[in-house]
Amino acid sequence: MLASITTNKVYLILFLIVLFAGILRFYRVTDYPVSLYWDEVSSAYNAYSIANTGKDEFGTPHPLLFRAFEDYKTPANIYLSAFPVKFFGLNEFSARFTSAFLGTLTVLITFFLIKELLGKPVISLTSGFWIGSDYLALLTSFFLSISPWHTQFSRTGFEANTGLFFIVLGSLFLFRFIRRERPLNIYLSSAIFAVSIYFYRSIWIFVPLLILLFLIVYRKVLFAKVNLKNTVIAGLIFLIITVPFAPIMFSKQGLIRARQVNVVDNSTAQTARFISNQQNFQGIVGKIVFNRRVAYAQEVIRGYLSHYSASYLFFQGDGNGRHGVKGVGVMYLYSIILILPGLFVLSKLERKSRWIIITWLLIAPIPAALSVPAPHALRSLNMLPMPQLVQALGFFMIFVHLRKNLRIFFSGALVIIILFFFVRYVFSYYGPNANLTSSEWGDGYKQLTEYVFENEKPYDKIVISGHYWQPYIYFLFYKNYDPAKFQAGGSKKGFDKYLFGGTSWDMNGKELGDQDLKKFANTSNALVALSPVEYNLQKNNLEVVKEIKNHNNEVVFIVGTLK
Amino acid sequence: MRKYINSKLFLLIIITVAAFLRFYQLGINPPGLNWDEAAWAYNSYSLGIDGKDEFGKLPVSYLESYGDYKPPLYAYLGVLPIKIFGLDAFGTRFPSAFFGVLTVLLVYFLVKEVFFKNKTEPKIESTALMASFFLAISPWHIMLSRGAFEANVSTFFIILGIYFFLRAVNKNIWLLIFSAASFAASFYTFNTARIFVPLIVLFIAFMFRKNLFAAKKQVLVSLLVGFILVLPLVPFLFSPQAKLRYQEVNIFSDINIVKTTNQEIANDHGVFWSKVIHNRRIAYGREFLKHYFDNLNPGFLFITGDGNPRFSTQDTGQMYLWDLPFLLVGLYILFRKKKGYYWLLPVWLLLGIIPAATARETPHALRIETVIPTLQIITAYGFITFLFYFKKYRKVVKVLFLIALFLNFYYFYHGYMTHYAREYSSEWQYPYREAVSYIQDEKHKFDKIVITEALGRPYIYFLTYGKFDPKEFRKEAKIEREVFGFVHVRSFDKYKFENDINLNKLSANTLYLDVPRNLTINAKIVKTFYLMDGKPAFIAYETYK
Repeated sequence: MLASITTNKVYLILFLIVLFAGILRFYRVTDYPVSLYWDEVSSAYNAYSIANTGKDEFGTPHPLLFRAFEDYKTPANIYLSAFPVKFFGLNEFSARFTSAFLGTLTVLITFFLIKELLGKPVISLTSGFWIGSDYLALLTSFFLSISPWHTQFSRTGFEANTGLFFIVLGSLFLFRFIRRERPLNIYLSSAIFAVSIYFYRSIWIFVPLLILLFLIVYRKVLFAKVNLKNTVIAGLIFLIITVPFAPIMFSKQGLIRARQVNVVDNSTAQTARFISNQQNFQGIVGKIVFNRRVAYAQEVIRGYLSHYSASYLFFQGDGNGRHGVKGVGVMYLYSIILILPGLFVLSKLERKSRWIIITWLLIAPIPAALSVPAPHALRSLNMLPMPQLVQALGFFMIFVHLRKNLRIFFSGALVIIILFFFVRYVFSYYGPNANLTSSEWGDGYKQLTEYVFENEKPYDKIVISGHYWQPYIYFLFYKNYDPAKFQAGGSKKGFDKYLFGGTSWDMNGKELGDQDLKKFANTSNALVALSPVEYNLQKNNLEVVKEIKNHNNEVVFIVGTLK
Repeated sequence: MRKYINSKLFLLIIITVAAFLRFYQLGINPPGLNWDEAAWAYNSYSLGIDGKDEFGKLPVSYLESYGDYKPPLYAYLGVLPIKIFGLDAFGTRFPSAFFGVLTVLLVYFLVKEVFFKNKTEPKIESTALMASFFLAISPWHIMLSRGAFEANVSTFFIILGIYFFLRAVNKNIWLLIFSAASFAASFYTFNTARIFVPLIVLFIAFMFRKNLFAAKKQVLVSLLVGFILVLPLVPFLFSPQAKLRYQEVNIFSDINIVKTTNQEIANDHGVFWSKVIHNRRIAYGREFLKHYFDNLNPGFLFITGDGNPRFSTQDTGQMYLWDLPFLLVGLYILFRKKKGYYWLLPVWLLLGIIPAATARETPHALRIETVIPTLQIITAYGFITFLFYFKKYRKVVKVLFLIALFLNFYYFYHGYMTHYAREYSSEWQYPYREAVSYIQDEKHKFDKIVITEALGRPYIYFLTYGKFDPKEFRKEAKIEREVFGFVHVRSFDKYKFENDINLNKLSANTLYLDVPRNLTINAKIVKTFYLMDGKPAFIAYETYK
């Protein structure tokens, strides 16, 4: 039953799904999200710098960690972005191209991954009811193509999303090896997994766990006498590719981001409570029970479990404006009705595939659990595309348990429900939500650079506020400033005739509010752009010429000349 | 035969443990009577003296109290314990703790009815014992049994009603009458029962429709009994007071949702598709589901518990983290094996959350207490199935896992017995006890005592801790009733209660009890009352003579 569908038809449907995914990921990708945020601009400019000079913005040749904002960005996404930057030039489209393109391809290869994962061409859902794995794979791809979680991150230059592509691809080749035992597949797989490590810090934890999982579940295949040699070679390939990165990963710079967000250094309230309790109750028991480490463990477990809470998954996501649309979870609300039966139907699958799916779902949030804040949609992105597979399974589970005449009714109703939530999401994404999150995307910088580049001629110096963090990168980016020149004579404090203020909360930077602007610019013929906060303190020294507003109609910069 | 004795012995041990955990230090931890407990205490006391409540009425369908129209049964249950143990915390909490222990016992028998056809299997016997044991040490149930929470008693009646229903179907259909009576009792005990009970009864009746149709006489008699018992309540349920109370906490009366959707439609200039996707009915539906699923939030269930410290120590979830894997296993096995009336447990769980989902504050451990036994039974089922999976080393595995559970339990219990009272004494209105006893000693020196209402409902503490004669209170008290039904006691005896004491108009020969504040020059502090963590909560002051 339901097993017969011609291969041509399957590929036609797949093509349509991928096309649809492409439209959702590329349609007006430069306008929505409303602005490029700091990390996107920085990655794109470093890619530009690499493409043209082979060095990063600081002049380091071919770095394995990009110093950027002293956050030491992982390298792969930047190198990969050098191609579109070279091809399309340094602009908003090329900055987002890699993620949108690989995001679209992820939808495609998800189809093949699911087919290989499920193994047989047809699988039995209930006794007597067989369903083609084609159907499940197509539906999974479809759910991924409209997933708010995946769409959101594919439309921005998030390196986690490009990394996800390599994880899915690596798993695909590993399954191809397991099913067909052709050595090339496992070599490719280990090479791709090794490359994925270079993409994102949460992948450092996730991919080794995933590989371990495969090794345990498929130990009989992978360590069989005939395959042992290939497995060992694949292991060596993995090592050779990751070896240059390993010492850097664990260096001070490599771990800097981990230090900024880890639980131990960032869970203060609960720790303080525990310590106060400990002091109140002296003695060995109190020391054991109300131990700092218990508080950390509690925080980690809470963070881990929060990735399975309904309010995160289906209602509001992680609350970060860059990670989703307000009032929509990382999955659509309708997924609730598919996920529960889907989880249940896992028990009907073949044992080994089942363990891969379940454990994949369970290990994905581990990196996010070790950091704050949790839940975190980006750091747990590696969970994809398994939730979509579970939804697809859930759909067929309900479908096969219905009487024949109800099946059409159910499918029709579900289509309407999906359409409703999908339309609501899309309208919200391109509608009010886009402007509401303006400030989280660094919106206003582009408008400022446009104004400045048009009016800068008569001035000796241009002074720009650092209140919103790292203004220099936007000026480099929108000016397409020659990276060789910047490496030689520029810095975060200024290049050409631009001078940039500091950010008070970052590295003890000094903002421009209480500084002598004439002294700062070393001339009185300067154009100055300040945040409203700084402007209030400099009111008497400035002649306002222009207010720069963001898409949400908030004044972001006040531009003036020195009095 | 040996098995049989063993089982009884285990059950006895479990009940003893349950009783110890619920009664030991019941009068001093939690460290004071909260507002509602104090109200129960005094109303029970008053009922015990002349059969009338504090305001001189005979409470049938409701107890007026602060104007929150409490279901009255708990006050009646408290009469005897307060007569025996005196008007204080122990007696007030006695009914809750007592029925809590009974619930632990009842759950054992409930499991045997749910799996009636397999009840002699060792797996089911062990599950019943284990479920009862898990409930005995459940942090959720312990904390709710140790406060005068009427919900805890209501939970007992609901479980009893369901137990009798199953027993009636399994054994003797006449027992339906007891089932009806128990459900009716729950109606008089806690508000959420009035939503949950009709839902679950309809559902069970539907599932057992064949058995019920076969016994029309018994069903009719039971319906009649239930109807007669609930009848006195009906006029009140449809009164404006009951409605008001419900609306206060209800999401469907939350006007913000309508405002938001209207705004969103206006943003899109009121076009057709916008009216569809921003429909307020869908927004309400979404809101309902969100609040519903809040109650299944893993952080709430397994890590920190309810945000309200009266229901959780904030360090342990409503359940132990240990329970989590076995709860999942149990759910899975339940559906996989489909033994007995397996469907009852998940349906009970799902229906039990509905009353809380319509409320604004979620998750809410008190309003969903009805679901406690299902969680414990499913966890026990999962744990026992897991144990039976091992054949050779079953004992070793069992001991290891129970040690882990004990550590989890100890972590909770240590926190609860040593730190909880100190950390959260303000949640239990701790300073009132000392303040009232001080003022009673000093009262004769002053003409008037003026007390702030800043910490809420001071009058009840002067009645309860002061053991004031209810007859005299009714005679002297000046009482105001708001349009919305709220009751304010303005004064009785020498006591006068003020919203906000004006420091510029202090009178002589008067003792003031106030929250800590900077006094004007003409007054002096005579005593300060502290919370258990050392923060000042009240000051007593008088003018210089």
